[in-house]
Amino acid sequence: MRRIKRKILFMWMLLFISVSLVAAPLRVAIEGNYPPFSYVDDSGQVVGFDIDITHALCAAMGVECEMVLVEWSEILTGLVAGDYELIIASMGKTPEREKSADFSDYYYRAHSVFVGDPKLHSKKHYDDLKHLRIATGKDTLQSQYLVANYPHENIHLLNSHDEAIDALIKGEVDLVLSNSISQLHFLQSADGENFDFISEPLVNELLVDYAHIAVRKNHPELLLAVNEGLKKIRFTGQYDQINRKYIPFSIY
Amino acid sequence: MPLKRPAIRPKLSVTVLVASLVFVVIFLVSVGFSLGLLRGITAKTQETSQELLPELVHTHNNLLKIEQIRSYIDLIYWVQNGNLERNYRLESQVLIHSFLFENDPFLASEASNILHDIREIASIRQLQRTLQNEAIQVLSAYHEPTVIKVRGLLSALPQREIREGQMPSAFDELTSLSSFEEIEQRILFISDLNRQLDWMLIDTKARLERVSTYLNSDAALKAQTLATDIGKDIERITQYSIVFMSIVVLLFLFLFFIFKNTLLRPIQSLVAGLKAIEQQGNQTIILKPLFFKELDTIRESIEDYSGLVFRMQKTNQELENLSRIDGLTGLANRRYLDEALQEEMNRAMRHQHAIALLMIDIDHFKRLNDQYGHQVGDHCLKVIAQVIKGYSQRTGELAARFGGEEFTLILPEITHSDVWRIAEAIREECSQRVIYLENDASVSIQMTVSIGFVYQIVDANDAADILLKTADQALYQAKAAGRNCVCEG
Repeated sequence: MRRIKRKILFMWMLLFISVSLVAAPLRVAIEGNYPPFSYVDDSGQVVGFDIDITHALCAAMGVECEMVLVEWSEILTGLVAGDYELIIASMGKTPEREKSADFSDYYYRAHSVFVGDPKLHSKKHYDDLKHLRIATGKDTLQSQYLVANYPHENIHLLNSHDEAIDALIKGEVDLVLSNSISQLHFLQSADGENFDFISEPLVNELLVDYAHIAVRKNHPELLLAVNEGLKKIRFTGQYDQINRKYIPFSIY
Repeated sequence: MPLKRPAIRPKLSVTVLVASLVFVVIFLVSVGFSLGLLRGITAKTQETSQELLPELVHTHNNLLKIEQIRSYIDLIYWVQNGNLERNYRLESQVLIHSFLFENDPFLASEASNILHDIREIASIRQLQRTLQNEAIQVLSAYHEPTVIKVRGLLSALPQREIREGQMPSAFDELTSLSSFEEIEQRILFISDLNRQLDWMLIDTKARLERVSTYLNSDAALKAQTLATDIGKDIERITQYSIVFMSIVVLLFLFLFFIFKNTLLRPIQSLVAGLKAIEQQGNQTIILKPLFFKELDTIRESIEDYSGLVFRMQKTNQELENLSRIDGLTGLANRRYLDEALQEEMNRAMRHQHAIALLMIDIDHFKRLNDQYGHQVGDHCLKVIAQVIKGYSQRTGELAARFGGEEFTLILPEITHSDVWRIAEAIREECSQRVIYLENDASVSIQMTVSIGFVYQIVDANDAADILLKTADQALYQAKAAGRNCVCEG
């Protein structure tokens, strides 16, 4: 019975999508400051894991997509305002964010870890890091964690992951707390040569880092289509291909 | 009927309606119940697979990660380039970190140990690299061709191949150098570190092996659990199906039993009762009371009908008697006499036996009537009739009132002498009867009768009226002979 309902819903959804296909392409917000998930390459193009996932997902859903580059701090406001229907920008699900958006199944997992100069801060327990200046992107899971657990005067909340990394390179801060994959990307780049992971990864409920796709509220058929699309690209192996392209091991 | 007689009989139509409704309700309830159970089981099966399958996939992914970590360890061990080694170490670190978030203490602690080993391997390699560079640095102070050659050899040698006792023979020439001890100390240190690394590599791989065995048996266990759970669910579905089918079959059997006992059998007994009415003798048909009102009404009707038939038979009997009997004397009337005489003559002719016909007439009856009145006359007729009736006890014998004061007696299968004897006996008995008047007991009346009879073997030409006529003539003779006597015609 539920299956039949689902099938009917699915057909409605297809109808909805085909109607919307004629009407307008699906608008997807991306962010562009979060390598290797979303960043600007040398030729000025926005590329990354999230971008490739967006392309594959739209193809799997059978819709035409239009990507909109939005600042991280504005990204949820725009979704609520109806500027776009989806956000594919490595967004974690929090009760706060769930008030403004519905979330799909997760599409990758990561954890949070500190990066800094190993010669200065090697082999320290993270409780020993409290006196250090720590940078992270604002409105992120990591910023919530830092505000809850570390002295506020030492926390530097910057506009994006890239800004935080810049601050570390310039020596304005001692550590950056961010997603392990982005940190790895930085450490393997030329700029990251002199830095390393500091301390153990943080195991905390505030840092349960599952990335989801945010969908405009009250669009259950779109949410269902996104979830079906995610399943499809995982079954067809497209997901794994994209994964390998940016990260040498599975992050699902 | 095993059912007790109910005070109020239920209506068949209402009962059938109620029973159908009850059956439908029970059926729907059991269907609903079974479906509910089935749905529950289906949901549980789905739940089982939804819970366990992702876990299986997850375990499988973890196994793949362990394999990848194994290859990272090999890469870190074999790689020469420090930058590449650092990249591999960083990647393996992120990969191993992901195990720390597993909700599995063994896996988390083993991951942490493996991470520690990898860091240690990497740092030992770094230390070896530093020591090797220092040794090369010391050698670069010398400019002899042999030393330059050895320096080239040393810088080309991978750290893992710098081992005590396995150095190229060219190194023996270094013994003469002033700083030989400095170089030898470093090479020996690298060599010791290599031995340590070999042990560590074996240890770490054994640890990986343990983790992978653990995950493998975990996956096998989960797969087994999944199979067992689904197997159990299927077994339950089978059981519930059997129970459900049994309920339906039992319900049908129960209804059939009820139907047979309350409908089929009663109807059969009603039909049998109806047929039995035809054969009923001196009593009416009585049937057992029935459960259903309609059937019981039919039963009552059959009993009523049986009673009606019984009464009609009785009435018929009475009517027939009335048509044969003389109202005053209770003897057969003239009409019946004619029938019976013909019947007896036919019988006598068939069996070739004799038949006697007696005509009995009260002497001076008219005078008696005139003197005492008709009531006394009637009484006298009754008395004589009673006497004559006393001589008609055998089968075929018949006493009849021929008309007025004249009586007839048919005596078949009798001897001639017996006829005489009986005729004399009747005459004698009649003459001895004394009748007293009701209003005057002092007056007594005595009567005499004259009897004429005919006795003969009947043959085909004899007719009943001739026989009567002959008997009548004999009576006439008896009258002529002075009355109160018997004459044979």
